[in-house]
Parts: sequence; C-alpha cells; structure tokens
Amino acid sequence: MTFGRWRLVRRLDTDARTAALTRVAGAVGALLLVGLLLLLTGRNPFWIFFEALKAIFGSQRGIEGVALRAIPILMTALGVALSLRMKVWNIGSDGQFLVGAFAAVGVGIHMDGPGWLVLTAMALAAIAAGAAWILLPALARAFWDVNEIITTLLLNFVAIQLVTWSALGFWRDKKAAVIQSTEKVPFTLPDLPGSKSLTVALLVPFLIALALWWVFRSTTVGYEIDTIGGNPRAAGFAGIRVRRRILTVMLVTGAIAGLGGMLQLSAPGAQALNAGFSAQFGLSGFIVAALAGASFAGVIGGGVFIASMFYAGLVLQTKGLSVYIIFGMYGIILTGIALGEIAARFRLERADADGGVDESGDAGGSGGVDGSGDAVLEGATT
Amino acid sequence: MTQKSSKLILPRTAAVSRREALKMGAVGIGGLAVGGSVLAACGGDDSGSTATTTAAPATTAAAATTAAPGLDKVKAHWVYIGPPDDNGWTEAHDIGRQVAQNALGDQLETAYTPNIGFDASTTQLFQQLVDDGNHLIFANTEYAGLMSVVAEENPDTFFVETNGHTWLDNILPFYLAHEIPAYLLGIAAGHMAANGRIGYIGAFPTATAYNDVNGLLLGARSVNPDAVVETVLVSTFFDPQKAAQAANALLDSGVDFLFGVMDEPTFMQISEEAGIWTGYWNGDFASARNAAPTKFVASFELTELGPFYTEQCRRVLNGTWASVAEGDVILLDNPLSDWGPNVPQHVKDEVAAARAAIDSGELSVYQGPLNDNEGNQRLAAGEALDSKGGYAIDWAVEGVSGI
Repeated sequence: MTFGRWRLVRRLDTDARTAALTRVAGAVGALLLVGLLLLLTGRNPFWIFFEALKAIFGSQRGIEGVALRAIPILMTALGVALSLRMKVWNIGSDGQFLVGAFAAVGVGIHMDGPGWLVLTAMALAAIAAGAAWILLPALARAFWDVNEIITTLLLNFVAIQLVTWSALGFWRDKKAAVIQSTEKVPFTLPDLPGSKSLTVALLVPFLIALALWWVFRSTTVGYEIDTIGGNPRAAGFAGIRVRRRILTVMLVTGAIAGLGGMLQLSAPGAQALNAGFSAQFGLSGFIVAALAGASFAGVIGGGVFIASMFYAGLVLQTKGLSVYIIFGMYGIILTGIALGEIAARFRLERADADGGVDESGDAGGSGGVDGSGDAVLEGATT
Repeated sequence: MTQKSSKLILPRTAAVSRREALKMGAVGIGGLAVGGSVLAACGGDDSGSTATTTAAPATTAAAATTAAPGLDKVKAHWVYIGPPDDNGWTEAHDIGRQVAQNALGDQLETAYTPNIGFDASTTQLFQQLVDDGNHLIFANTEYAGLMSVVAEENPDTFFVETNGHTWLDNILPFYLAHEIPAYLLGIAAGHMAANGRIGYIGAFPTATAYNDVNGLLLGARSVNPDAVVETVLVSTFFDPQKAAQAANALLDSGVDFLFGVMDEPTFMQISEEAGIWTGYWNGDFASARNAAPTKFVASFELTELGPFYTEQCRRVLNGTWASVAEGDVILLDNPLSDWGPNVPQHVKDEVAAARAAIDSGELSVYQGPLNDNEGNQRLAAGEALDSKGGYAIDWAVEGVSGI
C-alpha cells in the first residue's frame, strides 16, 4: 500500500517496546478524539478527565475499586491469552467463569466445615467446572478440528441458562423477590491486610500470569505451545503431540476462567449467584487478551487499564454523565488501542528508498487481526 | 419526554385516604401540582442526570421548617435498573424523582444513575454514592445483598428499596399493592374477553407476578365464573423480542385479553394487530396507548411514586426518617389509569363500584375460600388476605396456569 512517496510495509517481527508504544499512542489519540467530541457536544472534557482520574487515584476506595473490577477481567483474559498463544480462540470464558461460580456456590452453600476447607473445596470445584465446560469444545477441536470459536461461544448461553435455572429454581433464595439469586455463600477469602474491600483473590491473577510467563520462558511445554501456534503441521512433524497440547491448554484456559468465578464470590456484595453475576467479564477479558497480543504482561497492563476505564465510567455516571456517552467513550478508546495494535505490525518507509524486502504484497486489505498464519510469533516477545 | 401523558402527574383523590404514603395529604398534592406545571414546561435534556433545581420555591416549604433537628439540604440519588426514558418502569420512577425535586426545590439535590444491573459493580456504585455524601439513596428495583452490604457499613445513609426484602434500620422496603389494579382490570377483562381466557406475560415467578395473575383471575371470575388466566414467563422485564414471542404464543392459543408486565409495549402492538384487548402496567404512557390505539383497556398507574419520594426526602430533611419493622413494608396505591377509548360504559361503572367497595373495606381481593392451582386450600371460608399478606404470596389461585 503506498501513500504518495510513502508506503506501508509489514514488519516481520514486532518488538515488545514498539507493540506497547503503538497501543499507548492509540489510546492517547482516542482520548484526544473523545475530548474533542465532548467539547463539540458542549461538555467539558477537562472536568470529565479530571473526575475520572480523581475517581481512580483520588482515594484508596478508587484504587481498590479498580482492583476489584480487574480481578474477573484478568482471570478471563489470562485464559484467553493462553489459548491465543496456540492460535486457539476460547470465546467461552464467560461461560467457564459462570459455571466456575456455579460450582463454587453449590459447594459453598451445602458444605459444612471450617471456612478454609470450604473455600478450598469451592476453588477446586470451580477449577474442575471451568475445565469441564470447555472439555467438549476441546475434544472436538483436538480430534475432529471442529471450530472452537463457535462451540465455546455457544456454551456461554448454556451457562447463563444454567445459572438462571439455579437462581430461579433449585438454589433460589426465597427471601428475595426481584433479584433472582441463589442463597449466599457464607465464607469469603481472607482480606488483604490494610484493605477495605480486597481479598487475597487479587493476588491470584498476578501469580497465574507469573506462572504462565515462566512456562513460556523456561519450559519445553511453553515452547511447544508457541510452535503449535506458529504452525501446527510443522509442530506435528517436529514430534510435538499437538492434540494432547491443544486439549491440555484449552482445559487450563477453562480452569483459569472457572477459578475466576470462584474468586468473584468474594467481592463485596457478590456472595450469591444470579444471571447478571458476570457483567460480560468474559467479553472484556477477551478484548484485553486480543489487544494485548497474547502477552501476559500486556494482559495485566491492559486488564488494569480497562478496569480503570470501567470504574471511572461508573463514577462519572454518578456525576451526571450519560451512560450512552460513557459507552461511546469506551468504544472509541478500545478502537484506538486496536488500531495501535494493528499499527505495530507495519512501518512506513519511503517508496523511492528501494532496498529492503518487498513485503507489501501481503500487507493489503485491512490488516485483519488474525494475521493469516504470517509467522509473527508474538510469543517470543514477552 | 414530550410524549408523556399529562395525566401522570395529576393526583388521584380516590386513593388518597388509603395508603400510608399518602398521609402527607395536602403536602404531597401541593408538591404534585407544582411538579406537574414544571414538568410540563421542561424540555428533554439529553444526558443530564442531575436535575437542576429550576423549580419555583415549593409552596410547602414552610412545613419543613417546623421540625427541629434535620438538614438544610438533602442530597438524594436514584439508582435505576433501566434507562429513564424507557416509556415504562424507570421513566415512571424518574417522573417521581422530578416530582420530589420540584416539590422541595432548593432543599433537595437529586441525581440518578441508570442501567444498573446485578453484578458486583453495583455494590461499588452504592459505595461511591455514599462516599459522594448522599443522605438518601433510592433503588427502583430490589438489589438485595448488593445494596445491603453497603447499607450495613454506612448506618448514617438511608436507603429506600423498591420491592425490597432486606430490613435494616437504614433500609426501607416499599412497593405497590399490585393485586388491586389487577383485580379491577380483571373485572374489565372478564366482561371483554369473549371466551373468558386472559393471557399474561410475566418475567419471574415472584409475589408481584402472583398478585397480578391472582388479581386478574379473581376479578374476571367475579363476573365470569369460567374465566382462566394463562401465563407465560419470559425471565426478563425488557426484551421486546421475547415479549413478542410470548404474545404470539398466547394469541395463537386463543386468549381474548392480553396483559403484560413488560417494560415496553411491543406485546400490545401485536395484540392490537390481532384485534385483542390489551392492558399495561408501569404507568400511563402515550407509547402504550399508541401501540394499541383501539384495543387499549387500561394500565396500572405509578403516580404515587412522586408523593412517596417527596415524603421520604422530607423526612430526611426533618430528621424524622425511619425504616419499618422487620417484615413490614410500605405499599403504595397503584390505581388504574383512565380507560382506553373503546371500553364500554357498563364496564367502567362496574369497576368504579368495585374500587369504591375495596376502598371502603367491603371488598377484599383475596377472600376465602380460595384454592391454589395445585388443589390445596389456602384460605378457608371467611378468611381474607390483605395487601401486606399479598406482598409475600407465593401461590397462584386455581384457574391460573403456567406459573
């Protein structure tokens, strides 16, 4: 693609610094655009940005609010990011999150015993349920090459119905009327020292991200997964047991999202399960993972960013800003980051400065996110 | 906003003597009248959640200065399940908010947050509202534990919860006596449904739904002993597509009257096209009447929200705000709207007579002997269940199916 004397050239590889910088530039550009739109519609963007920053950083409550928002988003995003390392798209993290919470609630409201024991059993049940929820898509993908995007996505709706059924039926809290929810789990995870609302649940996504980072940096398994992501056929020829790896990775992504559902039950007010329990955390997590290019450090940064954005949006609503404007702002900012993500894969160079490899042939089109098998190997960039 | 029926803000004198919330009497009516005139004059503000106090000083301001301890100005916030322009539930509550704002003028600062669902961020919202210094927080649906955890930690902030079932010193549950308008509309339906079959589209099997279907059935049976109510529950209050499917299913099966507790009037349009009488809840909105211009019968009015909200704010202002005893609830009157254009006069007269009988205490909606739809006797001959009893009801009367 050429623009006068300049042309767009696809990079063979993108280093982490460029990848991060273009995304930040995309976000900043989007914020400027948002500010301009606010100004044009007669609102004060400086006041709005000031209120947003004050909401997030102005108090311990704000910081904790962002952290509370971030936990479920990070848990679903980490699962998705892991699957993306292998170019497998787990769109079902919302469902896995919900069945994880469902299993944890089932254990939590029925099991007698000391708190630590019940909570441990809840976590194990959530992990098992999340993994079980993706078992069929994983088997179908590994053995019959059934598209996991469809199967994982559709199981989200089944999970929502399962939760609704429990909240309306067999575990319904009969004291409530409108809010159709299960009974409350009587235990929550231990509080973080010095915190008003956070529990040790906050540590879990960071520990998982660290563990995944280590797996991909230092183990054969990680290398094999990245190789499958690069080219599954070649990986097979190299002696990697591709099916087994696909199966394992997909089950682990489900387990992480499922554990996220259990952790969420320790958030203030969220001890009972209802159909609205997951405010599309899976979707947010998916956006984070896709924009982070499956880098685990990127997931943490992106997850905290999107959680800050959502929390600031909530506070701005209470200051009188319309929810529709806030949704529009979210959309513009995320689009800006997505454009930054695409931009990271290209560079501009002078059309007359010939030399270098001519790769402009495959840089046509709109630069779709899938990259169509181009050996970008973002895996190596963490 | 311009579509709103002006009737919404007129006081209904028939109901004034009955309900606790209306004990304020002339004070609330005065507020309503002021609110009405200002409402009529105010245009649509796109985003502004915070209603600026453009109202003239309230005519009743003198009343507020009599109590000794209290506040100079109350900051109140409304948390809404839906958007404030939904032509239904949330819009009716927002009109109530504006009535309070206009009645109390400079003594009240109001704002609202719309579209609040049932995940953990709702708890963060309530906490934020407390941190913002609100004295009084209204919820227009039941947020239960998502709200009560915040209330427990902040005993100095007062909460008013619609359809609530959590009792704390600082949480006041209130709701509407649904079975009465349902009974009155049931009388009309009993006359107007040629085959005696009434369709009902509901959301969840809650006390609200039981009061609706029971009221409809008992009202209809009072004039047509063969009447039945056929129910479809769609697990949502706002999903035009699901509501349309339910409406089509009920109409195909042959009901001759269609009522729904949906937050939007799609089902009424379908009913109109099928030539079937239809009714609405959630207030008297032009959109509902326009959806079924010839077949609209009546809706349940939410006009008592304004006076109730005004009174709650006034009590905080005066330092006299208090919750109710555990298990108790404030039930507002939920009168029938004006009739649709084609409702026969004899039906109107009969319903007016029944309303008078209910108001005077001669008539009770739940009057034994009554069996539930599983054949168990729930009320023996001579027993009756009042509205507060109805607030906790969990059974449908014999003759109701599908719930």
